[in-house]
Amino acid sequence: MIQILLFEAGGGRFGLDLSLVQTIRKMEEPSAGHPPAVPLAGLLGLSGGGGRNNPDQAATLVLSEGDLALRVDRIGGVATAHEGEFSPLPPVFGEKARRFCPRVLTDDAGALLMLDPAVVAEAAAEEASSPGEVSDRSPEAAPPPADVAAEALEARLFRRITSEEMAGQVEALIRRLSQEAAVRGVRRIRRILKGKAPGSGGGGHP
Amino acid sequence: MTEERTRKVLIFPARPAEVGPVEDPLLFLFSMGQVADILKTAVIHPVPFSPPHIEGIACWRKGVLPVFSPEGCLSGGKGDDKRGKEGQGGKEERFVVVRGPGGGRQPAGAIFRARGAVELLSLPGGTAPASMPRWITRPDRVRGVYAWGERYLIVLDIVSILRDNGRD
Repeated sequence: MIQILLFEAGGGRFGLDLSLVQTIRKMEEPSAGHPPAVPLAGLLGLSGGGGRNNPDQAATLVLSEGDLALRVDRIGGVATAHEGEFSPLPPVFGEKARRFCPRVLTDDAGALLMLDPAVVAEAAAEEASSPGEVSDRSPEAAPPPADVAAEALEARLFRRITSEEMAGQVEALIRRLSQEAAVRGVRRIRRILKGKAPGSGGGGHP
Repeated sequence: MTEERTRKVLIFPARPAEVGPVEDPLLFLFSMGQVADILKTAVIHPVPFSPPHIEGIACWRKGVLPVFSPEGCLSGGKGDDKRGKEGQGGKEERFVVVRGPGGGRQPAGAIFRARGAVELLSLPGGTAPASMPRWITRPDRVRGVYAWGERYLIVLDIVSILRDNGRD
């Protein structure tokens, strides 16, 4: 028997193994000690979501010791299901959809897609890393040449901190920290899933 | 499957967004042997990373089936603006559950959104093969197009549509 957290994002219904969810908090609550929440709808390419449609119901799910946080539109409750009740997502949906949502469960409200947390965490890490990589390639972010005098380096750093670039630098730092946290999250989720795998049917995790 | 059943067909108008409002000269045709059910409503759940012609999944008899826009299957688009919403559009709108090629187990088939009135009639006589309408950009998903008086009947290739594996 598996306990499943039900939630909605971007107009879709989803489920996650409840044992992987550490905390559920309201979207506007401060996130001290937790990574920035990744909007699940955006990550999945769904049109609605991110809590923008109904902010009162939006929530953040903190997974695996707080290393991955997902923003969802609404929490739908908790359901229980046996392994045999799941069915695979029809193959017509393609490999990417089946990696993110390998299984489907039906209940009184219709169908819900079971997310693969490891795949979601990987995608969140990529999402966090992509903009950072671009900014790291910019001339402004390139490391100073070795022969730059200490005074010049100090002046350069001072200029950065006092200029409009500060916000960008802070943002890039947050992105980098978020990426590292997400990568740690992937590893931890994998470890948890590996520990649960024998005899449980697995669920197609990589 | 009785002989009478195989002679019956189900038709409904094709309303591709690319063509705009028309006097229903285009019709989709399914044999009643293919049709497993006709639903008045369906709750459609969007699936991430779906191609535009797949609206999502819906439950049918404790199973889950993909929901297609038949027009979208042929044009490569989504067919209309109802993607991912609950299927309670027009008064005449129906959802046609079509059996899959494999029979009983998944992939069990598909659901097609019929945007106009669904009609059951005997296999039309006096049809002749016709050329593919220009808005159809995916002729591989069509088994045939037939002229029927002033109308055109489009027969979808369900096998091709179901084995596409997420391609547009």
